[in-house]
Amino acid sequence: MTATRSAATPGPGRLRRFWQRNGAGYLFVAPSLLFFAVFIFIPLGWSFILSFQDFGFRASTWVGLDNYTGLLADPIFRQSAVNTAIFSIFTVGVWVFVAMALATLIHPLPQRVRTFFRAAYYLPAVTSAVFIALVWKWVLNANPWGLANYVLSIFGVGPAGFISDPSPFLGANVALWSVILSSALTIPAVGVVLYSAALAAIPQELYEAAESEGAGALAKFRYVTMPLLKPVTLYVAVIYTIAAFEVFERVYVMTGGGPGYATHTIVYLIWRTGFRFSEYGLASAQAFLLFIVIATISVLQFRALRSDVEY
Amino acid sequence: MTIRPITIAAIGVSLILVVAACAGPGATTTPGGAATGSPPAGTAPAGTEPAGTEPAATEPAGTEPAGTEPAGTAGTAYQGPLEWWHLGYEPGTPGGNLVDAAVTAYEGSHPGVDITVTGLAFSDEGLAQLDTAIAARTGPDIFRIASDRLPGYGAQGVLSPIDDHLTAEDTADIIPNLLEGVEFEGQHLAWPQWVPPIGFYINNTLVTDAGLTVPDETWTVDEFKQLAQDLTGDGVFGFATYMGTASVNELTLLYNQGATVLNEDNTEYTLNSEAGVKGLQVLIDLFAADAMPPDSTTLALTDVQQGFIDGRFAMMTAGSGSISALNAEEMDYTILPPPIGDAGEPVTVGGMGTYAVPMKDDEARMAAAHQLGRYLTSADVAADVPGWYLAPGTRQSIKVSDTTPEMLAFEEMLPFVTFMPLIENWAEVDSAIHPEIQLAVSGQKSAQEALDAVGDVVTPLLGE
Repeated sequence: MTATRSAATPGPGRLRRFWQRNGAGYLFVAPSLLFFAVFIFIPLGWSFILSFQDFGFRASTWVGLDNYTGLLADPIFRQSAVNTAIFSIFTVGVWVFVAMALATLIHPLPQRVRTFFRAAYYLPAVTSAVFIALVWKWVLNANPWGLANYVLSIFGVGPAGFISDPSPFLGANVALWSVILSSALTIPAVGVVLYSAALAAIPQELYEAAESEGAGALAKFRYVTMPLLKPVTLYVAVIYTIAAFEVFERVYVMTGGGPGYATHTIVYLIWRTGFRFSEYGLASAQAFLLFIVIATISVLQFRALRSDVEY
Repeated sequence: MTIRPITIAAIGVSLILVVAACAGPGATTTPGGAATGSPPAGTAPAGTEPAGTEPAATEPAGTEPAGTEPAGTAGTAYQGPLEWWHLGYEPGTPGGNLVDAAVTAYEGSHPGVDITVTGLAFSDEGLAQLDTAIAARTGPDIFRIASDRLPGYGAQGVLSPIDDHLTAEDTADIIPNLLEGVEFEGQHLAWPQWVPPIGFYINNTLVTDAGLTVPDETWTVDEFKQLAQDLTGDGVFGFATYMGTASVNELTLLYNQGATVLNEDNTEYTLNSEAGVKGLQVLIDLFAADAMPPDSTTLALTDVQQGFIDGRFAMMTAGSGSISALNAEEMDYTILPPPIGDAGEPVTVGGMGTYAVPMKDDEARMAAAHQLGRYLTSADVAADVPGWYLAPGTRQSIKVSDTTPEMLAFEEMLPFVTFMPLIENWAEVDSAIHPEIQLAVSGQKSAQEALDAVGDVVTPLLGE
C-alpha cells in the first residue's frame, strides 16, 4: 500500500520540486519586484498614510479624513477637477479619433511609405514635452507676433488672448480651450503606431467577404475595421485617459495655471500644494482622489469597450 | 539536490542587482542640479524669493569694513566641517566664484573649519530637496533662503534663532526695519543679507524719443499712468510687470496707495480696502488702455526684463538684480521708487535674502554656523570678496553704490521698504492673491470683487 499525502499539506518534496521548477524564474524577477516594492509600493503606501496626516518637519499630526473632506469643499480643487475633466474628455476623444484616422489613411500605402509615416508620426513621443509646450506657448502667445495671431492678422482678425484670456467660453474658458487645442493638435504618436499594427493584423478575407456582399468603404470600416480595432481602442483610450488626467507640464510651461485659476489642473494643484505649500499630507490626499477617479474611469472604459468580437 | 547552472547564474545576477539597488547616492559634496549658476538678474523661482531678489554677479561692490565678531562665542573655537547649501550655486560661474572666494577667505581666517558648499536647483524642486533634508535632520549647517520662507520653518521649530548670537555691534549696524524682516514670533530667525526693493525702471531712450521728460522720485501715480499711456504705441507698451506666483512687483501699486495685505498683527486681511481697490484699479485701467502687454497675466518674470531690454516695454518693475543685465546691454535707463500714491510718501515692497541655521544637536557646530552667517552678511565678506553684494546690504556699513552707482536708487529705498507678512502659511496667502489680480486685470472681475475673493481664501487661513 502506497502512502499518499494530502494535497492540502505540501511536504518538503513538493516544495523542492516547486523550487526546482520555478526558482530560477522567481529569482530573475526578484530584483524588479524589490525595485517595485522599494520605489513604488512602499512610497505609495506611505503616501496613502500621509494623506490622513498634517505633515510637519518634526512630526505629523493624524487628522483622519479632514484632508479629503476639505478637498471636496475647496472651490479651487473643484475648479481644477472640472478643468481636468474637460481637458481629458476632449483631448482623449480627439486623440483616439485622430490616431485611428491617421492609421487608416496610411494603411493602404506601400510598406516603405507607411514606415516613413509611422516614424514621422511617432516623433512627438520622443520629443521633450516641455519643448513642445514652449513652442505652443509661442504659437498661442497673445501678442501680435505669436504665430496664431500673426496668421489671424493676415485675415484681418485678432489679436486673440488665447492662453492669456480667462474669458468664459463653451463651458470653460478661452485659456483652457487654448491649452486643449495645443494638446489635441499634438499627434497621438503611440495610438497611430498601435492602430497601424492592428490594422495590418486584420485578415484580408474579412474585407473580401464584405465586398462580396456589397459593402462600400465606409461600411467596411464601420462593420469590419472598427469592431476588430476594439481591443486597441480600449488600450489607447485607457492610456490616453490616464495621460490626460495627469496633464502637468503643458499647463506649467504655457500658463502656470493661470490666468487666475483658468488652467489649474489636479496634478498642477498637487504640485502646488506639495512643493509650494509643503502640505504633503494634503497633496497626498489630492493624489489619491485622482487615483480613485482614474481607476474608476478605467474600469468603466474596460466594461464599455470590452471586445466580444473574435476573428 | 542538484542545482542547475542556470539557477546559480540567476542567484548571482539577482544578488548583484540587489546590491546595486540598495547602494544609495553619496552625500552631495559637489553642486548638483543647479538651474543656473548665478540666477539671471531679476529672476526668482516661483514660490521662493520675491521677484528680483537674485541679481547676477557681474559688478564688484565696494564696501567699508565694519562689524566685529563677538568675543568668546563657542563658534570661534569650533574646528570641523560645516555644510553650506546654496540655491543656484554652480562652480565656475560668476556667482559660484563669489561663493568659493568667500569660503576661501573664511577658512583662511578660521583654521580648522572646513566648509563644503552644495548647490541646489534654484527652483521649487531645490527647495523641496532642502525641506526634505531639514525634515530628515540631514540638512546643512547653514543655507541661503528668502525671508518669506522663514515663518514656515520657524513654526516648525527647525531653525536656530540668531538672537543669542547678535552682538551690540550687529544690532547697531543692521538697518532696524530690515531686522524686522526676519522676525517671527519674537525671534529673529536668520541673518539678513540683502534687500532688493522693487523699483520702477524707465527706458530713457523711449521717453526722449517720445518727446517726454523722465520723471523723478517725486512722481505720482497719476503721472505714472499718464506716462505709461503716452509711451504706448508703435509696438511699445508703456508698462509691464510680473504678477505671477511669489510676485511682489505689482503689489507696489497697491501698497503705495496705503494698502497692505494684512493688518499690523497679521490677524486680519486688509488688501480689499479702498486703498487696495484703488491700487488694483490702476493696473486694470492701464491694461484696458492697452498700455500693458496683452499677455500680462501670464508673463514670466524673465520675459518682463527681456521685453524691457528689447524695447517693447517702456517701464517695468524689478529689483536691483536687473541692473547688471541692463548694463550689459548698455541701456540708458532710470530707476525710481514706485510713484507716490494716497500713502502720501514713497512706499515700496521687497524681499530679503538671508542665511539661516537649522537646529542641530551639536551646539558648537551650530554656533560656528552662526559665525559663518554673520560673516556672510557683514561688511567683512565684502572686503574679502569684491562684488559679494549684488543688492543693497542690510547693514549701514555696507554701501554697494560705491562701485555700482545704479544701486544708490535702491539703497535710498531701504528706509521705506515694506516686507510681506511673515506668517507660516504665507505661500498659501500669496497663491490666493495673484490669480485674482490676474482675473481683475483681464476684466473678468472688478477690483473689489477680486480682492474680496482673495479675502474668502485668506481669512480662514489666518484663523488656523
